[in-house]
Amino acid sequence: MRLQLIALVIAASASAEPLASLDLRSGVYQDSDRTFISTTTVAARGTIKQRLTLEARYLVDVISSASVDVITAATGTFRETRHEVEGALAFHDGTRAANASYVYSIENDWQSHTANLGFSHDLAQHDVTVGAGGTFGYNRVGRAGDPNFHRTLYAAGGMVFATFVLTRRDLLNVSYTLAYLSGYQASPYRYVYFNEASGSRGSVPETDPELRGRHALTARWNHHLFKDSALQSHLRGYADDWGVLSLTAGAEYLVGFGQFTVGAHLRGYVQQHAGFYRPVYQTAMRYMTADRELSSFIDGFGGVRAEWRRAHLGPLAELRAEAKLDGFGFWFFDFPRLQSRNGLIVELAIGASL
Amino acid sequence: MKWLLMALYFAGCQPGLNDPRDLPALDEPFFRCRVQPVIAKSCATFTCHGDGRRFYRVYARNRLRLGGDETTRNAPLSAQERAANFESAIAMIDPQNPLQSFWLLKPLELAAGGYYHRGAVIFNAGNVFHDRGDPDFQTLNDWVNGAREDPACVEPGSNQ
Amino acid sequence: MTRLGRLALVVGLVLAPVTTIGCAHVKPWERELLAKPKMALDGDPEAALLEQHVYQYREGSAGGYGGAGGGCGCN
Repeated sequence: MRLQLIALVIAASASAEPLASLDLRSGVYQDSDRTFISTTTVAARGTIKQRLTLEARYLVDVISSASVDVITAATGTFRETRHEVEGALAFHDGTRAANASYVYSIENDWQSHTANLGFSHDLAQHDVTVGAGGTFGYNRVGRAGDPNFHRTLYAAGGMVFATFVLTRRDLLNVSYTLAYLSGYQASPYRYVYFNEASGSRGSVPETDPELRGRHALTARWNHHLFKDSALQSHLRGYADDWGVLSLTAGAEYLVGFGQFTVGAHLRGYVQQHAGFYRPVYQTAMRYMTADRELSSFIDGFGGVRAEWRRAHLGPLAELRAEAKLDGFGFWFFDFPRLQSRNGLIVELAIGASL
Repeated sequence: MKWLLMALYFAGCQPGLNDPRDLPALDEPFFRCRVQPVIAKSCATFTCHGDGRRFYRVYARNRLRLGGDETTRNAPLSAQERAANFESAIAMIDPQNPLQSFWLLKPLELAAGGYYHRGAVIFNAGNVFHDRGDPDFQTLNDWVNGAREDPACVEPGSNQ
Repeated sequence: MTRLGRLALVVGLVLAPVTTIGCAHVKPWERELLAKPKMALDGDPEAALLEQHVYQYREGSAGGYGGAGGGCGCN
């Protein structure tokens, strides 16, 4: 389960909204742990009287995996498909913005309903934007092929942010996100070994705490450089009451060449393991997990992208296309079954506005 | 950066993350004399849970053994093997919801309210227990429900 | 003071100096660079969605970057 986040539309400057737009994006992920994921999303937006925007979005994930988790559980490669749909409504009048959205997601062992609300207001002659939002999610957790296994997971959260126009060339955004999860958060497919008193090795189904409180503090800084380039950077600190601590830092440099924009980006991440995580459990404990995402590790992502935008092409206000390539690596410090993992992500996108 | 991490550290950890597991206080004599014969008969074949690579592993006569060789494969279970079987089964019981445990419900047919059990699918021969009325399922269910046996009971197939 | 109170105090101390930064007013006719797509904090929602998709399902952290969440089991 992953955290339900909040959709927030930050009030844009006074630029004309397109009447309608359609965007299609497709990406593939392949890693050395034998996991392949294909993700495609299509989004349609329409604007009424420059103030009200309606959005509908569909996403599909197709996953095929023979990762170390799957093999350890003595099952073969698994394949599954996840469908996600979203409907959203956003309003802005140049000073205030509000938005609401609903997301529904379903796969063979998970069903999710998420509602989001957000609000923002410009202050100090549009030099400062402050905003807040909330999210609530209900998840029904199952097991593949099992009509009788049902667990629930509730998620609720809030976010506050402030965006500052620092100079003609600088924007700074600071946000704090808080989320609480209550319910089943383990994997019904994972078992965890421990050493029995008899000297043999026993195992228990993975057991995580039923409650989890999560906090994230993020700063993002965009700086315009030279004639037509920008440096976007971000820094996030994260902590939760399972004991996970992490730091994320990244930057992207974008340069414009007429209709084209090219960019290069880097992102680094370091995480300390959850308090109840052990690479090897000497005895049976109340909470036991074999989730490598709760272990200590670092990861790095780096890549390039190229974007093309052409305005006023026939009946279209804009036609755009993008290609993106990322490489990544994970290095696990205390996960015996997998020391590292690397891979590639390729994305292609096309969109048009009226 | 120090401020950032300090601010987040104040979130703190919830208590009890490193508590020992509350294993259910289930009866060992009942397991030894009543449950173990059922799992030896129905679960311990080499292709099923008589395999050391399985998360749930069962030792049984003429099946998986803890040490020894072919000449001792059919010997009565050792005290260590009996203890290992008992500990493995106890560990698979959910202390919060024992009647919803994988150990109890995975060998029961889906139509009878059981959980998906890959063993029932890959061998295409149905699950271990057809319904809750099965006497062997009743034995497992009774144990999880706290049934007790005379500590002096004789384990079938033992040398007691 | 409660744990949440201490957190709020530290967050407030961190943000307090930042709130004074916006005192140098940038006039509307000086904002042409800020309006460029490269300067947008949330430029392409679909790109951000797929990007956060990848990070959330492979890391133990979440939050801080916006985006509408559906639920991926990924269990």
